[in-house]
Amino acid sequence: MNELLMLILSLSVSGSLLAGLVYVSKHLFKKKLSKTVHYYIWIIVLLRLILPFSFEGSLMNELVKSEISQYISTVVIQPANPVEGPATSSIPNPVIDLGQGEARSFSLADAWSRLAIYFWLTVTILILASNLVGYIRFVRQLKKTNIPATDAEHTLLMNHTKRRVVLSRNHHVSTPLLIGMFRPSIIIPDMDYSEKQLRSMVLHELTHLRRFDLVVKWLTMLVVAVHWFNPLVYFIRKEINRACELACDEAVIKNFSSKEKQDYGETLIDVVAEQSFSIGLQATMCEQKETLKERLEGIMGYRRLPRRNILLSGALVLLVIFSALYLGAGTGFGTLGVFSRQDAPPELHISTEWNQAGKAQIGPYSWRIGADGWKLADTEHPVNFVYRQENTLSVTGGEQILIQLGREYDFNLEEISVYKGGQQVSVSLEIELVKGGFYLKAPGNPGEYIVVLDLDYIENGNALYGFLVWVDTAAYDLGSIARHRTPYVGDSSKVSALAGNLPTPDRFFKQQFIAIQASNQPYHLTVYYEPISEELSGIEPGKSAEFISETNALVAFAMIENLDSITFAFRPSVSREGLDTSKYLYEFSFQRSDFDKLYGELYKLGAELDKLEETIRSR
Amino acid sequence: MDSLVSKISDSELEVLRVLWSAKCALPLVEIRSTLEKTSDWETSTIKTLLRRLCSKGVVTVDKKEVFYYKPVVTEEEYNQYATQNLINKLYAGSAKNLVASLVDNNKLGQKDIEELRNLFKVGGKDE
Repeated sequence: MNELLMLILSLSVSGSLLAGLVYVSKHLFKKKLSKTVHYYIWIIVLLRLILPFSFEGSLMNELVKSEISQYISTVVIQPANPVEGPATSSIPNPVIDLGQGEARSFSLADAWSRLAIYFWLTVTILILASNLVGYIRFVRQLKKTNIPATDAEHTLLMNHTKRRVVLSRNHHVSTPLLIGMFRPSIIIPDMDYSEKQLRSMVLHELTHLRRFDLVVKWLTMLVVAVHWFNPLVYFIRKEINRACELACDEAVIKNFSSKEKQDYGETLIDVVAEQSFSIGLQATMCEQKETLKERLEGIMGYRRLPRRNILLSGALVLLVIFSALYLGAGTGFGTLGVFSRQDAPPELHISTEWNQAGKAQIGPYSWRIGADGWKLADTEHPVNFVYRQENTLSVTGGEQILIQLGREYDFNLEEISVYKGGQQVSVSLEIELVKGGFYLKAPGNPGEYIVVLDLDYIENGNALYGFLVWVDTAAYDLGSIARHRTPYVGDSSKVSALAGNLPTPDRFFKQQFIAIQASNQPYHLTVYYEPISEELSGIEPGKSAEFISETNALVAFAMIENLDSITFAFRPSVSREGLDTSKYLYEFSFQRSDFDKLYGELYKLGAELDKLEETIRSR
Repeated sequence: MDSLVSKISDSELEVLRVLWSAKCALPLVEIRSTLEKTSDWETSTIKTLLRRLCSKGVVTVDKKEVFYYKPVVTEEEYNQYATQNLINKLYAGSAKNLVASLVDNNKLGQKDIEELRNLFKVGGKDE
């Protein structure tokens, strides 16, 4: 919020300074520049007032940055508290950008600047709305009272323009008007005109149309709406309007003969003379006589300027443009700088050979913004984070994990820590640096690990990241599994569904058959696995298969009350005609009694999914 | 006409509307009975309004057995004025800056116009 305030103010200041420069230089070079140049230079001022772009080294930017950085280094952003509840649902909000979201600093200046921004914005919106509504109503009233112009008048208009312009007469206007940029229409007072007069009026309005003067007028309106608090913009508006008419006159009479110029000027006077009789379009100030005089003098004194003045004009225009760029605006670090530097550390992408992809979650960091400014984020240590699916990789022991930076920065890998069950463990990670990132090897032993990375981005700052790695463990969709919970192993449909929902102990195998022995105790279940495709024939289940089978057994005992023992059987070849138990060469068997000693009553545990998940994780 | 019209207040306008819809001169009684339907003005109020309208010259009064009132300003004229008024307000308010005109809205006196006409003589030298 504060940044927006700075931006608006700096735009106003630099625009005002530029306006001052322009005003002075126009007086210096009055006779040497064409009225058109005088007009166009003001447009540069308008653009400076409205375009929020700047180079990083501009004057305003330097002033603003020193303001902001002073502000930032005293603000430390606290995250929202993590919500207690189901583990996967909420995540503490570690990074809070000063420009959006809540910055919980209780600085009074911050409160004031917020208030100022709201106030400024309210007035701006009101001004814009009232202008738009007024304009629309005005046009509507005119349309209601318009009378079509005569054929002769239309013909004259067509002679001077290829565009589709509507010509109308109206009882209620006292000067010719040009309305509308896209479907232009010229409205003239409902009186009799000589051809000379009509020609002058039409040419004048058409010149306004050709030069997009309406665009400039609307832009001016926008600038005044935004900078309503700056008294100079009202002065600028007046100057622009004056310059616009003078430039328009100049363009109209450029190639006129003396007689034509006389006719043109006389038309201006005629229209004004007529105005004093009508009640239309009320008069405002007595300045009007002066401006009309200025225009008439301009017509009388028009001289085509020598070639070399074009150089002077060009030089002045360039000077003004450079001044505009130098003055700049307080965009913080330059909008052009936006493309080269972000205001937060880069994302870290994590992936494995098996096309898994995700990203690490970012923890506490300090990041440089602007010349002296730092942004700090103070969050929990990543070991305490709650990780989502996208922050998790599922790998086998020793598998390679690739970590890549979201944007190119020089960095040093300060430290990597690996945690299991909340405790730090020491593992050999075999880090290998590559362009834009590095490889590391997953731990060998099965389990759930949190990997915390401390990256030093040298001049840009440093950051902590964390992500989750499941080594040789599988994901248990306990929600779906629990739907098939049953007291009876003989309930074959439920048991079959259950077996299907258990993760496969080896990713190259798939579950195909089950066999239930429910006639005599001990009641037994066998789950049969085979390779997922022909090409894999001959493979054996991997090292982790036993561990995962054991976890599966745990879940099975928790879900089937009277199951006493379970076997997971693997065959190296794909089955053809149904279940052939002789082909199953590898198996892992488990007894409930052994599990009960370790975990207590498993079927009871199966009713409390949170606890069950805990148990699985801490294995 | 416009100087007359500009002085009409809102309440007076109500009375005028009654006169306009009648298309002939009306006595006070009839004016009051029509107004009774839409307003709760007393006879004395209506009398005052009519008196004011007369003194402004907007309405004329003719004495026959009772006073008959007839509008001088027609509804047409009033509407014209109202529209013009609205357009003027809108122009001065915002539209002026959003449309391109030939000249500024001026109200120069005769003297000033004479002065400008005398001033403006383009030199004979053709470019």
